[in-house]
Amino acid sequence: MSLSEEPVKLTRKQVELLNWFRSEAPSLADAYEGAVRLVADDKLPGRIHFVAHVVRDISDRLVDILNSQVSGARVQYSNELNLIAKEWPKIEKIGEPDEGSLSPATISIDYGLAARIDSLVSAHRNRPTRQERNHSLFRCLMRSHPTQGDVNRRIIDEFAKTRNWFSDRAHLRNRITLSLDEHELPARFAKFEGILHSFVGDFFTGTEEIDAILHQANK
Amino acid sequence: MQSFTKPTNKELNAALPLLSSPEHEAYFFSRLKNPLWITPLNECDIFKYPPTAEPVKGGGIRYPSWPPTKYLARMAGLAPCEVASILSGIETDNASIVGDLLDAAMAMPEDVAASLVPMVSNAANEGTLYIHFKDASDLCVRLAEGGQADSALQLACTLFSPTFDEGKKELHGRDLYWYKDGLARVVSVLATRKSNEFLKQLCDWLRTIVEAKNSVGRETSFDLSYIWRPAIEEHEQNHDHDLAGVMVGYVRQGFELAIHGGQINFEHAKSILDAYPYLVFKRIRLHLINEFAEQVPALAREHMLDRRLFDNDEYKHEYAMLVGKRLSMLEAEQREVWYGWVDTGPDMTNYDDMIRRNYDREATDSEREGRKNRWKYEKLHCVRSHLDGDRLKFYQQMLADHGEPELADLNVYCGSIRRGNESPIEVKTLAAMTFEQAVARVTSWQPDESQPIGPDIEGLASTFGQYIATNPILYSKSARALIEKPAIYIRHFVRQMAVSAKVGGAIDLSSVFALCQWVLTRPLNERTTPEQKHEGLVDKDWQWTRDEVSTFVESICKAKQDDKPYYPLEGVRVPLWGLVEQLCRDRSRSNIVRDLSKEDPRVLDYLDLAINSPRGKALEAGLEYARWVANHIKQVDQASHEIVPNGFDAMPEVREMLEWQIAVGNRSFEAMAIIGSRIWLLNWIDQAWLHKNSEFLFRLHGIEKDPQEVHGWAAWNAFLVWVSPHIEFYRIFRSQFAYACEQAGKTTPGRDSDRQPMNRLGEHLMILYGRGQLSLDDDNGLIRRFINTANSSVRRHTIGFVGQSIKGDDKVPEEVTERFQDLWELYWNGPGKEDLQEKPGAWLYGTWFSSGKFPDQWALDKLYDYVEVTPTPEPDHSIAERLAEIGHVDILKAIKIVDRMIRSDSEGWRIHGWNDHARLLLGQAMDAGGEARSIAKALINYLGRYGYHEFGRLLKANH
Repeated sequence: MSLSEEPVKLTRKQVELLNWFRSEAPSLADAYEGAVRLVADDKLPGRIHFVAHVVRDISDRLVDILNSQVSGARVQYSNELNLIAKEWPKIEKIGEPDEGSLSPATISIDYGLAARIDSLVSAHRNRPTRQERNHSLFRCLMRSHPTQGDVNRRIIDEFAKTRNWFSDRAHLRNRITLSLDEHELPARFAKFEGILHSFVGDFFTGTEEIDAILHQANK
Repeated sequence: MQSFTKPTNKELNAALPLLSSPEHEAYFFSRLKNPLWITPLNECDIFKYPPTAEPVKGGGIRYPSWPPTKYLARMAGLAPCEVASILSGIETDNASIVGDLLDAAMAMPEDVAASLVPMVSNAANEGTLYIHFKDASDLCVRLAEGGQADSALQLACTLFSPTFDEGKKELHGRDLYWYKDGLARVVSVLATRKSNEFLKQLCDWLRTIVEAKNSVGRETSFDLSYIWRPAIEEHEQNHDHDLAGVMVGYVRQGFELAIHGGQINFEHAKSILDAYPYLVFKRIRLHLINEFAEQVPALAREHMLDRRLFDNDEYKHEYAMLVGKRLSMLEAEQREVWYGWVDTGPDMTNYDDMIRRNYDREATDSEREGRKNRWKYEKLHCVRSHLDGDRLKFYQQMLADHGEPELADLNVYCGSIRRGNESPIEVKTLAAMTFEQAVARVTSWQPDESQPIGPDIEGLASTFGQYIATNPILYSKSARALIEKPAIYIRHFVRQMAVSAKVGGAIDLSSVFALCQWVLTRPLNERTTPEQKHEGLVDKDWQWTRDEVSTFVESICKAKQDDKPYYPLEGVRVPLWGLVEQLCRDRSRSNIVRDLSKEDPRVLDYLDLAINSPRGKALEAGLEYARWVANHIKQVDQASHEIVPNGFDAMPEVREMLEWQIAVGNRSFEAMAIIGSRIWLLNWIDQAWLHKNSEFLFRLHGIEKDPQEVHGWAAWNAFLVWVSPHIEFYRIFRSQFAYACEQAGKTTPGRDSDRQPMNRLGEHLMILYGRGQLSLDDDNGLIRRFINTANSSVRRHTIGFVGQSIKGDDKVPEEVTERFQDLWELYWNGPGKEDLQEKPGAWLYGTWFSSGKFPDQWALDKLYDYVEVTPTPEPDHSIAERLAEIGHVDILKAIKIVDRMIRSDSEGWRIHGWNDHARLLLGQAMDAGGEARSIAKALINYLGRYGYHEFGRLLKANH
């Protein structure tokens, strides 16, 4: 099986979202567009894993991309560890065993190396929680809004739930019932898109849909 | 009622993601009318996280409004139980949410609203109710009226229990106005619906407030209430600024309502009041005995015949009210007992001691008798409607002799008093006399003694002036009758002569001149009325009268008929100048006290000081005299110009006076400022003289050598501020203009105004430049140098002045606008951007642009550059209006300008003033397509998020 040859027609909201990704987070734009196409192609086996990967990555990385436009962002564990690894000696070279014991109670390392490790541990300890990162994400999404309001915690929780649903499906696990998820996928993905679009899409595109709901509700 | 349907899960799931941003949430909830959405939305935690109060930078707290609770408030009438259930579970420190809660409670049936009382009480205790105190009071009243008295009482206790911060007399956490307003309404309903509990509560609150007063003795129950609440009933002598006094009114009202309504009887009321020790509660009880005497006649009689109450001034008012209204309830013999107390008279034991102590002398029999009669009179005044026979005669006689006794039933009395300007003689009395008699009557009057109130000389002099004004022409003939009379009366007389002269009244000038001449012969410091402690504005010497003579001279010279001088030269000129000559060397120091030693003379306009100084007034008179003479002798030359033949040779007396004033040693700020402000006149009379004396008159350089040498600046600044710009002046004062321009960069004007001399310097230059009389390069680029080096505040004023002037001009020739375009380029490419950054709200280019006098594309280009520096150009409304008119010339640029203006509006209210113009421009940009359309579309969406939803129509119209 291969991806459908049929071109997928993006909705107006999706076009606006895609344009926004291209402008504000270009590295995520293709992934998003690919996910849109996968969601639309219900014949592609295992598509849920691919879409789930994309949603999880967008959810996790978007805040860093948006934040990096403002300042440096998350702790770069790999880079820091590479630097430490260059200087880190084998442990047996650090200290000799005390008499009568198999391993030393203390060892000594260079101050510079210790400082680097301390810095890495501090950064790790101070890293934001997922909820803080999500809050930060929505603050970034509202940066260009004229109103100075804060985002409601309900939205942050809802976004986290959506992200977790996809994260759970990013890798194959026995307990997940894929056939049921396949049906749920478009709705979950629409929710993910809906939350993002409400913040970064055209305001009046959103109100058109809301007007339709209000029309029905107020009937 | 409308029939709604509950949302399906599908509808709900579709809706919720759309409401994620606060703006969409607000859009949805402000329009949702279906109460059946409440529960499903609640199950989705929509109402779970209301926004909290936010501290604001620089102090203060912001209470964000929240559309979901506003929706609940709107739905409260349709689904009260659901709404109450949700709201009662919300914990918030946000006053806006509390306001929604109160709105909801007011829309619910009372029994449901009662369930919200704990939350309102909690908000009150947390201090978040402050701005909704009135709404909470309304709810309290509504609950009480709606059969929820227990809840109402619970709420009332939270709202109205008075608390005070340590050492403070003001209520803690409550606005006094709304506290009093709310309690007044609550008392009127709760007193009859929960009488016993509420009245006890009211008494508790009164006790708390009384005990917060410093003057209260807790052991003695002494509270001075007869001072802070003179009468228990409503009375003009009660003051509403004293909270305890106000609370007494509520307590009284509460008891009266409850007893009248039959909820409690008098005995019950008495038992409540008796539990409180302070005097004020006893006074309230006495008041109620009077009010309900028919219910407790024995008690009323007992109190009337209580000699301790009769003698005790602490109960003076309530006792007086009781006997005044209820004396007839006493048996005849009981009344005689009471009258017997009055007839016996007061206790005089300490009277003689008191006189000795206070006046250091023995009391006389007459004083003792007077004291007794006064005391009796006050006692009888209380029962005046019951009097007959001799007591009535005695009372009526005392009333006729002394008027109503203000302290018969009060210990203190506050009333207004008249201060000053009271005349012992009326105008009509004087008018019935001959002038000489009137003068004699007025000038012979002396106040009995020095008093702060009552008739005084100032008041009498004012009345004398009014009398003169009734027929100034007639009285002018008798002016000599005032010779040798006090200055204050002559001053008022001369003032009326000046008023009459100014309108061409045929006053007898020779008589008035004679009086004025006599005035000028008097020693300046001569005192003409006896000195008194409280004498008000009475002349201490002759200066004010001399000033009035100056005004009189000026009035004569200004009087005109058919645009010609009213008074002839012949017979008037000589005596008139005779007066001026003697006045022009009067004191130069102004009556306005101002320390000039620390002010920069280069940026001061001295004219206000000058016109308030004796010499300044005299000089004004002298120069008006010069104009008057010139108007008499002027001729029209071949070029149709009016000229004054022979200039100052035709009035050498004026020249001599001017040269004396500007001579070193005689100079004063005041005189120089008057002369500077009349340069136009001097130039007209004798330009050669002005040429010759200009360097000396406007000696500006002197300040560098001697900081005290600044008189030239007084003249120069008055010239700049008060004389219209003209190239002729520029030519005469070329070197002064150059020097002043140089100084414009070395000074800091104190305040920005049209009367700031350096600002006016810029205006002079701009007008000459605009007229083409002075180019950018003339005189070594004087204007260029001014633009580049003047103080930034002066520059901004100058540039702003051009825009405003052009805007106000109907037709501006093309060559003028071209000149100003060059000037703008010079300014903008020079210091303009920095000037603007320094004060982004300045009206600089905004007025140029909105004038509509410049080529459209040029104007747009410059505005585009301008908003790059400040995105908030002023005046924004005029700019937007003009943009809408010419935006089509370059719609992309225009929409970019608007985009910047709107996005920089952090408050979101500026566009309110010009959203019609913005809509027009956005529509044009949408029609234009391309980049302009993209920008417009994004901006429309941005405005939508701001709450300007009406702009969304532009998108629909342009699909």
